[in-house]
This record gives sequence, structure tokens and C-alpha cells, in this order.
Amino acid sequence: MTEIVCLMKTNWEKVLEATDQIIFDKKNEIKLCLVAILSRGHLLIEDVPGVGKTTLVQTLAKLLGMETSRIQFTSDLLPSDIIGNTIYDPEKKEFKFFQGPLFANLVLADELNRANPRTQSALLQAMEEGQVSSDRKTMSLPDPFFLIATQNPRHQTGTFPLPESQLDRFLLSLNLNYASPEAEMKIFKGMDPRKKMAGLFSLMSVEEIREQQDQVDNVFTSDLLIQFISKILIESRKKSDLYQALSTRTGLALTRAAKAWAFLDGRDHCLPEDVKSVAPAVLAHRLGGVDGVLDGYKKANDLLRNVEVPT
Amino acid sequence: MKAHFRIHPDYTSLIATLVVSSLLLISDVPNWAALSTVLFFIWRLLIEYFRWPTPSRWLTGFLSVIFLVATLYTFKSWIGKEVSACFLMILTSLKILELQEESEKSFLILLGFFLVSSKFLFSLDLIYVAIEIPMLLILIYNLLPTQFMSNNPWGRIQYVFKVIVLTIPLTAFLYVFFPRFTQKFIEVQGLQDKIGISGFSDSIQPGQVSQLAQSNELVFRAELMNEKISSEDLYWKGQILTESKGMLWKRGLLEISEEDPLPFAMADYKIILEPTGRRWLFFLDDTVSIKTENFKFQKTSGNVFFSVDNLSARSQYVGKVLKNQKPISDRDYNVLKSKLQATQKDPAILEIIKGFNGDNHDPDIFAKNLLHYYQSNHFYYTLRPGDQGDLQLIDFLLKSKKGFCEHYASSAALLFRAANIPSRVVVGYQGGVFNRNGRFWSVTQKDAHAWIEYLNSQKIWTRLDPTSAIAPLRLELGAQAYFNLNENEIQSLSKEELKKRLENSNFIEDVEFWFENINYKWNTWLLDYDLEKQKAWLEKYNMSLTSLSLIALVLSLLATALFQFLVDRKNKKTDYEILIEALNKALKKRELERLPTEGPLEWKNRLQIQSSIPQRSLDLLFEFIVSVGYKNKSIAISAEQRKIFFKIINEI
Repeated sequence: MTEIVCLMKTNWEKVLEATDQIIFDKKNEIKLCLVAILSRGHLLIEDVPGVGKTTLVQTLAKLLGMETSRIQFTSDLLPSDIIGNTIYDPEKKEFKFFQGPLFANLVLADELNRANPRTQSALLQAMEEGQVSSDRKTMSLPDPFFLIATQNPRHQTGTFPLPESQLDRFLLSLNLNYASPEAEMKIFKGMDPRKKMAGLFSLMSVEEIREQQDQVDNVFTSDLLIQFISKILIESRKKSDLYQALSTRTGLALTRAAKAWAFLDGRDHCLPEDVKSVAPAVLAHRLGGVDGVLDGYKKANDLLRNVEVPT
Repeated sequence: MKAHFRIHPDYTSLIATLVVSSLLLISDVPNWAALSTVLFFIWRLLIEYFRWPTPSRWLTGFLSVIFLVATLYTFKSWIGKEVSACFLMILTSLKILELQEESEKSFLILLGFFLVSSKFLFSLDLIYVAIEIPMLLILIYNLLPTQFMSNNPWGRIQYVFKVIVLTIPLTAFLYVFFPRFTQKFIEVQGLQDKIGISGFSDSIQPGQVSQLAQSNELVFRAELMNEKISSEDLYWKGQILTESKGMLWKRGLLEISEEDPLPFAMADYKIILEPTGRRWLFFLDDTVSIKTENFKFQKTSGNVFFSVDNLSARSQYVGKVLKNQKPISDRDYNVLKSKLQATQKDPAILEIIKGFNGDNHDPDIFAKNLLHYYQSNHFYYTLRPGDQGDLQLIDFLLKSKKGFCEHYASSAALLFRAANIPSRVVVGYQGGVFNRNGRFWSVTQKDAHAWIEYLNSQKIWTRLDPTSAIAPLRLELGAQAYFNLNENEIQSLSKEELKKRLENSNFIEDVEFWFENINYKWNTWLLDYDLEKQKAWLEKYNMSLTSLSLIALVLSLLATALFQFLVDRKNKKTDYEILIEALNKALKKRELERLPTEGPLEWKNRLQIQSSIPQRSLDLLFEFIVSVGYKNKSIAISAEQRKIFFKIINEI
């Protein structure tokens, strides 16, 4: 097992390095994206426009050999616009389902909170079950199915905030933030990232990803580690005046993400440090709620500072 | 001279508890013991205040030996709660007097537990339970080590409550299953006569009952189970006095009845007698039998019941009333008659009798005429008849004409005898205060009363209460209410008005009733569950006391073992803990111990930067720590690795 992990590590490392060549100074965020993919979760990015969200998604899609699609959400977008439509085919004289943009390995849902709640909730089933229903028929989405949604920070006009139930379905949330001045200067000096992207080739196949998702499941979590995760949840529930009490699903998400992080670090066992690395991203949108991801990050870090690592 | 030691503030609550619990016991110990205890407390107070030196241990040790001897001399015994309470009190005060060091705390706490439980054994009273529970809490609180949750007093208090709550199941278990020991076991005769207990003595003379009736002390509580017994029947007999010497009546020789008391299933009334220190029992007229487990009793020929030993603890018994008494035997009747003939008769008295009775010989008509005589001759009922120790019958009838119930009972009995009708004086209590909430009667010394019995024409002892002729209101309203009225009120208000006034209860009275009721229920509950009940209860489940004790013993041993096992398991350190502790210990000097929120890798990184431990050693150490704590256990950890780990730690 250890050998296999070591071998695979190089592949993921390559993905990480290649992405880092295009999006400077965001290694941690890129790694978290990979964690989301490896643990079959979805990612929520909350940010202002123009910090490289789309670039990140496209780069990853290319490197991982995934089929990608992008949905720009607007307030008049309907569920059928993302799932697909049943249309009458006059030649074959039958109704035929035309798949919408959701049928892809990697879907970028841009400005999700601009869509109306009805369309937002259409995404819900897709995210949770990996399948969609249309006209009483249920269709499976491609496997792996990975959704990256971006949302504008709250208070921007024309937004419908995502309800907590939907927020909980995202495994991780990120705040890309502006690049550092040095990184920005590097961007300005360098080539247009879109052109750079054209030169990328895929480092992995979809089958490989699927196989490695299974391997992440096998990363060992000891009792001590589980105790640590449970302590984090309990701490949030004890101080329910400060934090939103965390659900059991959150604990599950934390475990999965920590396993993926350990896997990316080339280990077959999970350490408290793995939990600490992923915890802010896992907890931010859950603790932040309507106050947004940035606020959630502060709260998550605050919470973690008070949780002791069990011995 | 010893260096001065001021009592540490930590001791305040403990010492306060000890002082209060000692003072609570004062009424139960001889005066000299109470006095010396108070003196020692004052001495200690002066030491604190004027910063005097504390007395040497030789002195206090010597004093405790002296007091031990004094205690044994007073009680002539070394078993019994009075003896132990007395010595405990002295010992506690001496210990507080010489208090100097921290290590004496546990001894003081131990004394405290004994003191608190002694008072409870003495009284069984709910009010003491209420006072003693906080004291118990304080003692347990003090039992916790000082370092334990030292910065969290609230946490300590919570812990104490937890301890108490955890003891409840075991206490309940013991209460139900631990064999009741009979009263005898904890009752050893001490100085009951000395201890402030009032009540009747074996004789009665004018002025005695009225003195008793000034006191409000509770004598007993009674519950009527038979609805046929009305409040007018509540003549609680105590003593039957047969021998007279002028107006002074004495208990004659009583024949102990050989026959066993009649067994009965349904009791008519239940009495919970406060400790009197005497052998009297109180029972209703026509009581044929009583039943109890608290003491041994005897029955005399005249259906009078006595406890075999003096009663110094609260005791409970039930009684059976049977109307239609049989007439006394001819032999007894002849004895009584011959006694009457032997007594000298004052011609003046005979003259008076002739005046109201004529030549009548029927006892019942004589009784009626006698009552009429009292009524029509301006006799006067008073609680304060003045000092009349050697009052003569003739003086009472012709001159003073005022008295309390004992005067009338005494004179009536004498007049009966002068008319050749056998009679005797009965002392006891009449009525009581009915508790509406608990439906029981509280009888106090205020209800002390005396009346007579005479042999009627059918040769049956018949009750006659002369007071009913002179002060009928005393009987109708009850002593408590009657003595609260002043003379004007008695004269001016009609009976209906008086009764109406009494019916208007006030709030304080309600609260008193309420508290009385709770206290009564508590006492009954404690006393009711006696050995017999316990046995009956066990028999229902086919268990004998012995087998149950055995089962209980085995179960408790098992429970202890299980508890120990669980504690051990809980406290057993995991491998990981041992490793972390070992490394922490090694790094303590350099202050590089693991921070509570630090994971192993973070710790390792910090050590890499801040310590001079070689990288290779660090790698090995943490490799081992991580594999013990976080790696799959199916990969066995070799003893070799362990050895290396501790070797590296030793090198550090």
C-alpha cells in the first residue's frame, strides 16, 4: 500500500505543480480543490470576480482529463436549462432527452447565488446523489461528478443567498482572494494564462481518479483522530452562542477531507494536522452561514485554536 | 509555648459546622459536658482574637482522658448514643482548641460526621435533617483535597452534589434491605431522669397537672383509624392512681397480667410517642391490646399498659379498643370494698355527701348528683390555683373552691370512696390539636388532664370527668384554644361565638399545621418500616433475612469489584499516553512540552527549530509516536522499536 501511495503521489504532485505554474501563489487552495475531487465532494468558491476562479477550474479540468462545462447563473435561468430538455424528434417520431450542461465530470457553476432558489435547488439532487430527475426519469451523471460553484460575496445586489441545507452539501469552501503583489506582478509579466493553458495535457485519466478515490477511502483513521474530530464538533455545540452547532454530516465531511489530505501527502493514515489543514475550508461556509465564507474562516480558526488534540 | 496559629480561612466552614453540630447536641448531654464544650469554644475564640498561644497537646490530651473518665462515671456504661455523643462533643471542642496543622483536617471531618449523625439518631426529626444536610455537604466539601479543582469552587460544589446523588441508590438499598436493628440495640439507659423531660410522675398532688399544662411540649401524636371514635372520646389514659393520702394520689401496686395481649389485625388508633424517659404509654379508654416493635410492654390487670424499659427514643404503637367491657371479678370487687371499709371517714365530708346525695346508693345517680354539686356550689376552674401542696379535701370543698382538673378529680374520687363506691384517679391527656392537613392529633403537655373512674352498678369501671361540670368549654374547645382565651372572653362570649372565632384559621396556623404534618409523616415513615415490616416484605418474595443478607453481601462485593475494574480501566493509560508523557517529561526542563492543541507533526516541527535533538532521533521518535497513535494497529509495533524510543528519550 505504502509503495502505491508513493507512486501516485508524484502524479498529484505534478497536477499541483502544473496548476501552480498558471495560478501563482495559491498552492494551498489548489490542494484543497484536489481534496474535494478525491473525496467526491463539491467546492464552493466565494470571491469577487477576476481572481482566477474560472482559470483554476479550466486548468484542473484539463490536467485531470475531465470533461468540463460551465453554467453562468442568472436570475432567469430555469432548472431545465441546466439539467436538459425533452424535445420531440420529428424524424424518429419520439421524444428525446437532450442533456444539459450538468452532464459533465467537472461543472463550474458561476455566480450560483444569482440564480433563483428553484434553480439552486435543482442542483441539490445532482450534488447529493450524482443523478438528476427529469420527466419522471432519473439519469445518472458522469462519474466522477465534481461541481465547483462560485458565489459573489453577500450584500452584492441581485443575489439569492444559498440556504443552509444547500451550503451543507458543499464539502469545502474557498476564498481565493487577490494574489500577493509579487504574484500579481508575475502574472502581469507572464504569458496570458489562457494561452499557457492551451499547452497543457492531461496527467491523469478519469479511471485513475476513480481508482484513487477508492484508495482515499482506505486511508486509516485511528480512534485518537476520530476523538479529535468529535471534540471539534462538541466544542462548537458547547459554545452555540458563538458558533453554529456543527452537524454529524460536517464531522463526516471533515473525516473524508482529512483522509484526502493525508493521501495527497502520501500517507496511509490520517493525522490531526490533516484535520487542521482541511478544517477551515470544511467549516467556513457552515460556520459563516449568511455572513459569508470569509467570516466563517475566522470563526473556524477561532474554534480550532480551542480544541485540544487528544492523547 | 507553642507558636501562634491562626485558623486558616479554608477551615472556616468546617469549624463552623463542628461548632453548630456540637451545640445542637447540648440538650442531649449532661450539663457539665455542655458547659465545658462551650468553654473550650470560647477559649479558642479568645486565642484567635487576642493571639494567645494554643494550649499544648499534653494539656488537651490530659483533659480528654479526664473527660473520658467523667463520661464513663456519669453513664456507668461505654455503649449508647448519649455516652458517645457526650464524649464526641468534648473531643471535638478539645481538638478545635488545639488545632494547629493542616494534617488534622481529616480527623476533624471524621468527628464532624459522627457528631452530625449522633444528633440525627437522637431526634429523627425532620427539622434536624434539614439543618444537617447542609452540614453534611460542607463536610464532604472539606473532604476534597485542596488541590482538587482549586480554582473552580463551583466545580467543587457540583462534585459534592454528584457524590451525594451517587450515594442515594446504595442508601436506599441499605434502608430497605439492611436488617433493622431493634431499638434496644442503640438504646442504653443513661440519664433520662436528668435530661429535661417533663411529664407525670408516679403520683399526683394538687397543682401538679396545672404546672405541667403550662408547657407546650409535644407528648405524642395520634392517628385514629376507627371512625367511630369521636373527639369527645379522646381521653388518653396514662396512669391509674389507686392509693390516696389526702388529696395526694399514688399509683398502687399493679398486678401484671399473665395473659398475652389479644392479637388483632385492625388497629383503632396509632400513637407516635415522643421520648419521655419513662415507662408510661398513653391509650384510649377500653383499649384491650396494643402492638409495637419499638419496645417491650406489659399489661396490668386494669388494662393499663407499660413499657418494660424507660422510653428514650421516639416509639410507635397501635391500639385496639373494645367496648362492652366485662365487669370485674367478684374477688377483685371484694378486695376493693374491704379497702374502702378500712379507710377512716370524716363526718364533715359525710355530711356534705348527705347534702347533695341524700340516702342514695346507686353509683350512677351519685355521679350525677356529684356533678350537680360542683356546678351549683360556685367552684371555679383555674390554671393557677396557687400553692396548695397540702390542701385538705374539706378545705377545698368548703373554702378554696378553686382548682385545676386534678383538684376536681382528686376530690371527686375521694367523695366516691367516702360514699363507699370504689373509685380511682386517672391521669393522662384529653383531646389535642387536630391537624387538618394530616388528619392526626397532636397532644401536648397543655392537654394534660386528670379524671376519675368509678365502679358502676354493673361493676364496670366507668369514666367520669368532673371538669365537664365546672369548665365544659375546656373540653369542648380543647386546652390549646381554651387557655388562650382570657377570663372576660370566657364570661362574656357565648359558646357559638367562641367556636366561630376558633374556626377562623390564620396563615401562621396553617403553616404550622403543614410543617407538623410533614414532620409527622417523616417520623411515621422512619418508624413504620420496622423489622416486622421488613420481614413481611421479604417473605412476600420468599426470602429470609439471612439469605438476603448473604445475597446483599455478595452483590456488594461484586459491585465493588466491578467499580474497581471500571475505575482501573478508565484510568489505565493508553500506549500513546505513556509515550507522550515520557517525551513530555524528558522535555520538561527545556519547556518544550507538547502544547494541548498541538498534533504530533506540529510538535516535531517545533522541536526541529527550538531543540538541539538530532534530526534522526526526532524522526525515529515521531515515527514511533505516530505509528502508535495514528497508524493501523494491525501493523504490530515491535518491542525493538519501543526500546529504541525509550533509549532516545534517555539520551535527551
